[in-house]
Amino acid sequence: MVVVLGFVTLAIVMAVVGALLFASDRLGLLSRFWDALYPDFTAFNSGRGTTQTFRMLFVAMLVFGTVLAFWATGAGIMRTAWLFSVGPQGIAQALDPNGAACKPADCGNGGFLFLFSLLQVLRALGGVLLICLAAGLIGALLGFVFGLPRPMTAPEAPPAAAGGPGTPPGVDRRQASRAWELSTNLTQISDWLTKIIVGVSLVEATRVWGQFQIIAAAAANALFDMRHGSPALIPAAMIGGAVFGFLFAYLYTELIVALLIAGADRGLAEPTPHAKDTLRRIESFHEALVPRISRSARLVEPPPSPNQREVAAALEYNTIGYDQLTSRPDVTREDVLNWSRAKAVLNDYRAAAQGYVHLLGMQDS
Amino acid sequence: MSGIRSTDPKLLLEAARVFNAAGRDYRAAAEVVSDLALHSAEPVESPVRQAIVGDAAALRLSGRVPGGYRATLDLLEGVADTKEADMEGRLHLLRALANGQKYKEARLSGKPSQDPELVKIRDQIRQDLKFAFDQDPSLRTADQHFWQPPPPVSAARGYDEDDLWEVFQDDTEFRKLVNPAAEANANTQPPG
Repeated sequence: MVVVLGFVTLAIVMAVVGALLFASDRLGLLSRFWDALYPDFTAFNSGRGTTQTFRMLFVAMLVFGTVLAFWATGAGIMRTAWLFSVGPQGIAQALDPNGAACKPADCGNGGFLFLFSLLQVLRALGGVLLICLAAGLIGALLGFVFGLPRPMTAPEAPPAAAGGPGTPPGVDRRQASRAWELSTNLTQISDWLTKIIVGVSLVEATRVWGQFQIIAAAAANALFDMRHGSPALIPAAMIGGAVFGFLFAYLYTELIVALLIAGADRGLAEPTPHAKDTLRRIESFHEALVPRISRSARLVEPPPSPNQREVAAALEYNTIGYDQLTSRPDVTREDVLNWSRAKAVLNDYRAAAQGYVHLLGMQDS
Repeated sequence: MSGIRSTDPKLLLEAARVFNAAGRDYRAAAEVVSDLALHSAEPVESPVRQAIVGDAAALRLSGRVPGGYRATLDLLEGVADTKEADMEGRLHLLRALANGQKYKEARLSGKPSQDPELVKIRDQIRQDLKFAFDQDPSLRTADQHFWQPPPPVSAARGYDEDDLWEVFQDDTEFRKLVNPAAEANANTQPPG
């Protein structure tokens, strides 16, 4: 009776899970979940290097997870066999610590053993992967804290004389600075935490290792009664999970989140639509933008100057550097063109040339 | 440079000018991109086309792009004497300079100034310059180094912008055209 009920329950659970998976697939939830797990790093500005790094990391994580799943499956079956070898009392003990949950007749039944074995495998798989995931989350938290970018404060920015952006002559410093800045609370906390963690880890290194062994032993005992290699494999799963979690979060924060934060920060200093429109409207042949190519090597007479509106529009781009601009994930050709025109209007032709090199796709040649 | 993907003449014009202004490192890029703008098949407004042709002609006349005055005259052959065809008079000025280089070469090869072919070239130069000055009178003073005698120091260093100097020497009408006031004064001075 117990066996029949067990199989019926299992069938119902499997049917419900199957139906949920089917519905999720039909609604596109599964593909979105997969997309979230495996983001498209080939998108604009992510770069080939970033894509390859993450793909390599994903493959390594997949191999680690698969090996761990194989061991957990084997360990689950081994545990069933061990409990069976102890006798019906062993299985009863596994079902109920008091050992009075099943009658010997039921516990020796083949169907019951199959069901019991299946549940043991699920228990082992779920337990090991959950431990690995928990360790991975701790690693990811550390990776995020360590990888969070720190904004450069004004005194740290290299001066113009040292090749830094500086403030061009004739430009008011107040114009060059921004009225709003992105909150740096999280980055400051990250800075403090990083220092605290490194400091505490150095002082408490021996104690941390002792505590880790205690936790690993407790997990191995709870899941596998310290058998089937669990005293070695559970710490390995925890360390592996933590390392992969740290690597993934650190790289993701450094390579992706940092760009988004920098983009959001620049977004606060985004030129106004009016400035963009003014720059867009300048005619290509207008010499206030850039002088014509002359037959003469001499400077015969200065070209016409841009008007006040054009200069004001160009100044709105003054704080944006080429690298900052092109590292934005959402940068468009029009953004680069406006930036290049702004530099040309301010007579910074070498900077403008970088923009046109980008627009013409000359970097790849 | 063969990797340049854009064929937009406006963008190519802007880029060529910016590269030209960006200094020595970008000079070669300016020449290549200007040539791409010239050969772009995309339709474009007349002022942009005029600017592209003018830049290409200037590069050829200054010797930065091969072809010299012959290529320049080929480029500017069909430019009509109308304001629509040359709004600033720049193309006519460049054609006059190209003909000036042609005239200079013929004179250096020993042809006399009264040779019918050279008389015809001088006529064409005066006609083009007159059109250019009508469009933009400031060209008369801004570009006078093309016909005024080079200073001795520059001449010793191989001054190469005296495209119309030979014409200036040989042609009174030309002198009147480029400097009417000075020429009038010279004519009213009592002899001796």
